Amino acid sequence: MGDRKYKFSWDLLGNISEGRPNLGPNTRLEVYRLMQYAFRDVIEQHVGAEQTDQIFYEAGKLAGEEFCQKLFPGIKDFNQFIKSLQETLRDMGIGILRIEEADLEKGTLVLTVSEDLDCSGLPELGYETCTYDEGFIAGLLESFTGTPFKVKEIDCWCTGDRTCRFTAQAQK
Amino acid sequence: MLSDKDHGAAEELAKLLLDALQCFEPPALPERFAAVDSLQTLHSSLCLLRDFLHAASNGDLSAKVPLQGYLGGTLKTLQANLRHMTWQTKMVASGDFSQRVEFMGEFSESFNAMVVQLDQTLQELRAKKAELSRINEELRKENAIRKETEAELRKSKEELLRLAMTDALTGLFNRHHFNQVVEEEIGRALRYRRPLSVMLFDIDFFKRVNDNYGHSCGDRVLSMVARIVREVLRSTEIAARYGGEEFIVLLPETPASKAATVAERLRSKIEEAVLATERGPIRVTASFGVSDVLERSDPRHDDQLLSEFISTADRAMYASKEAGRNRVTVFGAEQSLSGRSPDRSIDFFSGS
Repeated sequence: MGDRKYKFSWDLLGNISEGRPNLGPNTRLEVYRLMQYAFRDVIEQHVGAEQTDQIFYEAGKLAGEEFCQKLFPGIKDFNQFIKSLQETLRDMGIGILRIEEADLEKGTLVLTVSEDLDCSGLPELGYETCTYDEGFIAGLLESFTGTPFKVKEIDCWCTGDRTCRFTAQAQK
Repeated sequence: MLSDKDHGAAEELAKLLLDALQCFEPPALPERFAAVDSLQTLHSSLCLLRDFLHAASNGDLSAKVPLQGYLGGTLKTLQANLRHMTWQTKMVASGDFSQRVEFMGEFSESFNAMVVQLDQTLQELRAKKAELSRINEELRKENAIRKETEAELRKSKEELLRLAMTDALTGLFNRHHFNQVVEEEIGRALRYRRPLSVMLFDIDFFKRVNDNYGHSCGDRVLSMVARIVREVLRSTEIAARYGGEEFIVLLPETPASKAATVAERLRSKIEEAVLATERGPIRVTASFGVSDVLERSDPRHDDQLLSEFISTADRAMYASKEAGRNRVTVFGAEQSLSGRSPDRSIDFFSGS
């Protein structure tokens, strides 16, 4: 790949307070989902569903890594990290994170996200759709622990479960 | 309106479903309904739901919620809440008191109040522990200072005691302390009828030393004689500087005859010793008087006995002086056999 045009940088997100003095940093959730599902539609047409999911997973992972590095620098304690993450995800309207199990020695976690940004309220589709969230969580955990994690959504609003549940397993 | 037949079938199905909800054992699906897929799914779901709820009511939150949709999603939310609360409780148990439950109504308030109370209580306990540690440390320091002060006091007391009973120039006991010791030793010797001797000696012509060599050299002579005394005597024998150039030695468990031998050894060592000074070497001699106490004990008071005890040695010492100095004279019961000893320097003297 030659010169990159869209290599991620926080600068690309711009100065929101300067750029939106009246409207502020928030927007309607439909706009976010409109963009995501428009992306899904078009990308799927180009590369197929499986590749689309993979692209969203990797994008989520990149976002999770950047999110962790920008918002939680200096945190060393895992419990403090989780607490800060819970507060941030809630404050930013991303979702309500809850931990069901966490065994760092084994490298396993089970966590749930309620009122998820991506899927809460979606119709039952019979398959999990939160591939971006999977990657986002994997990126967060890898960035914090330094160990790669594989994250899988096992319950999703779209499978009729109303609460998204993820398993995370360290890849040692 | 339902026909009687349809009404009967509806009644039967409703009873079946109610029994599935209410009975201890769920009813089996009648054979004739087996072909109705939706009814079979509903029956199966109800049975699975019963199993899930039974397990959950017994504390097992690990089972998979068997339904989807609103009811299944609601149960899953409840399950997720309880599992998250379990994790939060573990966190609290590990010391993370920042955990708060926000999704369980009144229980959340009670749980959160309990965590806050636990946190406060532990903080108070830690503060008290820290305060106790601080007090303990202060006490330890105070105790160390007290022990140090006590040791210094004890050392000072011992030093004062030593100074009180020691002659500063010679390092031997002083006269006052010697008199105290003698009284005790006389009492012990009389009680147990054990021999006890005293030896008194005086450096001959000591005034000449002071006059010819100066008082500083006189002091050095006294120190030299004291050193010889310490070298010759046993640890049980008690020596003191009794006057200017006069020394006294108490010899427990020793009759006068053996004390005379010790005195002779001392006399000889003093005679042989040479003190080198800027004005030339100094040699001195000493005259000795020896006396013992037991063999002439009588019921007189101890203080009279003490003065007589030393007085007899003193008289023997002056007998040595009169006999030409640099000699030992014994004063005792046997001295009535007055005469020269085999050793030329030991005389026997009767004061009577």
